[in-house]
Amino acid sequence: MGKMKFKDGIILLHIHDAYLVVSDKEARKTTPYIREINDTAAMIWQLLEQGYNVEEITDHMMKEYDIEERSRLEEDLRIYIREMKENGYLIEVKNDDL
Amino acid sequence: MSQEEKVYSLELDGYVIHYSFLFPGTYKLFGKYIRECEGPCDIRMTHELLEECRWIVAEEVPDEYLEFHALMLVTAKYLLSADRAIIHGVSFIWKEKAWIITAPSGTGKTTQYRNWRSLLGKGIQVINGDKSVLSFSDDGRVFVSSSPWQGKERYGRPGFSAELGGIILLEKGDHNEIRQLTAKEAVRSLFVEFISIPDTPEQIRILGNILERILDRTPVWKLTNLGDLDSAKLTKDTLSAYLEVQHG
Repeated sequence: MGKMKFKDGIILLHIHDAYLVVSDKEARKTTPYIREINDTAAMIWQLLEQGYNVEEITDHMMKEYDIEERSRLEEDLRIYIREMKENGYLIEVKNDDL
Repeated sequence: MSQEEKVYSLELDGYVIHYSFLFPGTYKLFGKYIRECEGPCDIRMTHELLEECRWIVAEEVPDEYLEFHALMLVTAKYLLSADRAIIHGVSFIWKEKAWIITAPSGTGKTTQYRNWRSLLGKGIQVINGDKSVLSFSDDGRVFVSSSPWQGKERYGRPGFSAELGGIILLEKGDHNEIRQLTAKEAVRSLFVEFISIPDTPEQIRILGNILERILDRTPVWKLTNLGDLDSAKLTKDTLSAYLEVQHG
């Protein structure tokens, strides 16, 4: 799994400790209008926005949450990101886009 | 502008919008909220816009009725650039503050308002029965005012406005229970009740900012209810206790 980015028109809002992923008019054709996500998912989204790949996000989260077992975390992350990709939120960045 | 085009002016909470309609009879549905005027229009309805908004009406309706409701969606979006938003809910004045009962359609907002009327009679005055305009004063206070989109019962009157006291999120249940939500808990439920559905990333951020400022200073309660008089009494007593604490 390479670098991922959000599809255009998907906006992460942080309002009073809540995180909403909101789709604009164009994005709503393939993704829901609103999805609320938890703090951990929001951190993943923010790291993806900054261009982190799965390995880098895993490194970051292992430090952030003091996790020792890398393989389980990385697998969970891959499943979550795959789901986001299947639901139309994320697209894989081609080498040409980098 | 064509020779025949008529322009109408609608004032929402002191903010004036000029419209041009597709159908000559649409203006009648705006009642006393609108008047004919001169000058360039801000919102010109088109057949394309009308089709985009068709989902807002459940069934085949007269063209004027569709246009009236389509203009609600278009206006709600337009108002975002004026730091205003339209929320779905019944609003009324009680104890000099505005209170909004909001929930998805069919949850019993109007029933709840009628229960309040039964309890308090002229002690409450309706602002709007379905879609209220939210705006901010320079010092950040939130104000609620009426709009022409008043719902089936046509509750509301032009020019009626008050500072927002609180919001009640309604849900049907098998018992009556009320609790104050944290701002975090209220975010999603309130966001989806805005009629101002944003088209662009910029509009999404504006709406998020509006909601954040509303929640900075507005208490929100969740009322699980049977839709009976007791549920309204429970709410009234809870809000009264809240106001007593606030006023020392």
